[in-house]
Amino acid sequence: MGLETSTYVDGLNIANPAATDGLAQADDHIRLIKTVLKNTFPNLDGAVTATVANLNNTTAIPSTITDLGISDGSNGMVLSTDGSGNFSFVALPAGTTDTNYYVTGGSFSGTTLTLQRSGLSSVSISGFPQSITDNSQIGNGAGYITAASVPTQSTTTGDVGTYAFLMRSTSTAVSAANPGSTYSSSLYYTDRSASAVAGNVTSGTWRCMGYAAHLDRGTVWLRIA
Amino acid sequence: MTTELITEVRNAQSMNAENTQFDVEIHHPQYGWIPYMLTPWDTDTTIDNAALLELIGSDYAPFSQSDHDARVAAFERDTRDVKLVLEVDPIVSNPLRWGDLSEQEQTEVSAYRTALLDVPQQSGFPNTISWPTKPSCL
Repeated sequence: MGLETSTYVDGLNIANPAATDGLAQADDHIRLIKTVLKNTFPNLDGAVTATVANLNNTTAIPSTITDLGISDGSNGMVLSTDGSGNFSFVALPAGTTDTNYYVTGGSFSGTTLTLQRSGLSSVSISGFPQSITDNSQIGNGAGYITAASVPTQSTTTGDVGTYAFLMRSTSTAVSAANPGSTYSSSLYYTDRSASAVAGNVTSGTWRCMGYAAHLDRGTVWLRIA
Repeated sequence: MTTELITEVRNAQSMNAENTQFDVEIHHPQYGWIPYMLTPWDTDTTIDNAALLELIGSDYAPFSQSDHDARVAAFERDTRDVKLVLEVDPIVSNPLRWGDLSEQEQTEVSAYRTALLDVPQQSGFPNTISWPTKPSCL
């Protein structure tokens, strides 16, 4: 009389039917077996070719995306989902109308730069120099400018960059000193009241910024070197 | 001011017996080859004169006392010429201004002019000069 009730294979009792059961119950057992087989494998409409190893999941993990049943795309494409479990490769959107893949904004605070991304969480990059807040920070500090001094023009008589009213001796050249010409010797600070040459001789190189004719007429000179 | 690095010099001429002053050409990074007077009394540090002296080394024309004396003499002649041009010539070359002077003043001016012209003939010229006194009328 043993006839179990089962929906799937695991519910079958291998002890049924008992050897003493009547033959009239045989059809009940056959229908039970067919029912649990169909319930357990509802979609097998063909031969199952998987091996025992396949079914026991002892094969290697799929190494390519195509092993997962997803058709490969072209270089540069990205994997996209339709939200229903279907994946496919699509090309990145062109133009500026779609910013799903781009940084949409950013901010800088302290030493950290934060970038906002559409559809993704923000990313932060720290370690940037601090913002310069006053002129005292413009200089050569530890990794960034912290202080600076404005270059000063010397005002010492005779230094490079200074002007002087000089006379050019005719002792070595009788030609006039034309604007823009340069000389290194025969230029004197003297007002002609001193007779010592050495102390009145200019140093370096001077550019004539005016015009000095013969007979030692003075003019304005700029020291350039 | 930044320091200009000079790496080339040429045609150095010693200007004193101590060989501390030179008239030399330097290859300036901005201006190219330019004349340069290197003096021990230079206060500017734009060009390292000590390094320039090392660069010149012994490659220079030696100091010439006669050339130096000639430069001093020319300088003093220039001084004399300026005095003549600025002080004397405006009077003696203008008949009206010359005529306004008394006979005594004209004599003083003439003597002053002659004395200026004779400065190079002084025994101590050019190192020791007795400059004539300018007349009060000039």
